[in-house]
Amino acid sequence: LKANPYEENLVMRTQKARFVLVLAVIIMLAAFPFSAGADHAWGNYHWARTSNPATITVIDSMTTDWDDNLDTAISDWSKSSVLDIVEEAGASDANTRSRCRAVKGKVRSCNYTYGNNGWLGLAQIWVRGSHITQGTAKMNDTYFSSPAYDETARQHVVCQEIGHDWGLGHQDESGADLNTCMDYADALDNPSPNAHDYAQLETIYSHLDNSTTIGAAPAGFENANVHAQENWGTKVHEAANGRSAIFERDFGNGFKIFTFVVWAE
Amino acid sequence: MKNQVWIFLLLGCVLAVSGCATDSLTASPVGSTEPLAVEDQATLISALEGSGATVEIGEPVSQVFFSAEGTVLKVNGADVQVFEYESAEEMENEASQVSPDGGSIGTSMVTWVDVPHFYKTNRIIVLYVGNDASVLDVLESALGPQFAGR
Repeated sequence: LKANPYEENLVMRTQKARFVLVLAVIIMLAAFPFSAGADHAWGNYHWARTSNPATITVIDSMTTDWDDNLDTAISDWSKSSVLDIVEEAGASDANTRSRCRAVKGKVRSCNYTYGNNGWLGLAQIWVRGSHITQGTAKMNDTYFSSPAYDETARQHVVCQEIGHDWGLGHQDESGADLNTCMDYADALDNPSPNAHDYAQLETIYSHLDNSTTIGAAPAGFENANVHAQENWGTKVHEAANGRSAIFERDFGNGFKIFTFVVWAE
Repeated sequence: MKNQVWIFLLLGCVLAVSGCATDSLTASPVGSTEPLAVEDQATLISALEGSGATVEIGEPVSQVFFSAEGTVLKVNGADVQVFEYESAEEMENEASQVSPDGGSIGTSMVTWVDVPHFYKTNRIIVLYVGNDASVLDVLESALGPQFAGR
């Protein structure tokens, strides 16, 4: 049988079109590879810091029945390449846990019978611009005292609440179960973060800041005596006419005090 | 030409009839009762009771993410939280902090015990955490559709 030249041409054109399509798909995959990339940052909130991994302290103001859960959550989040989470023993009396007062530069985690208010867990952050300055994570024992909430549910919630304090949002708002403690599903059956959470943290903390909001301010910073000129630090600018100047006292980690002075004639 | 005239006449009749039909759909039937305008907690209770719901005033409730102190209303036995503000502007300011899915309010992230539903009108924000259809129906009847939640 002799092939029809029109059909031959059509077959060749079809094959060429397929080749172009496959090539286009390969180029697209190369340009936008499937990865553990995620997009569940909580706004653009993050802890300011000058280097990675950043060490964030979580104050343990939880009763002993929650300690294992907090320990596990801290261990899980510390697997992040950009964050190192350390635990600090805190007061765990009822008054402290009830108030769960935030501490500058740290996260406090508490459990208490906060009442029938509708929430199992609540994370709060204090921000300056986009920088988190302190945070709290509360677990509501009013509900957790019910046998309906098993160990996995407890782990899911404490993992999620302190996860929010790093600047993570929910992975998805549909209610789908995404095998992470950062989902927004009804079932509390995921005790740990997943690869998307760690990827999101790497995205959030991919840049460095000029200062830090982590930890306490350096010794002497908060109440520095800057009355006398010898405590102003180094002169970094002077007006051409010599009438004014700017001094900088550097405490490290981005903590600086600037003194702008206009000299008397 | 004659055909065109008939077509225009027919079209005119169709438009006139459809216009009448629309009017009849939008007009309030004679003798119908208008829904009570909800402005605050007191008028909300009246509106809910008017919808046939049982309402009891419960305990005070406070939420760290709302500045107004709230009150729990037991609506058909379910807890419904009502936060009443001094002004509609103040209420709107706080309502604007609630994310569409109800998962965050300002700089607070919440893990709810059940499905959250947020409603607002005039000076009040109403929060129902649950999924009882009879409660959702009377809340929507009194307050309109939820503005946030799942």
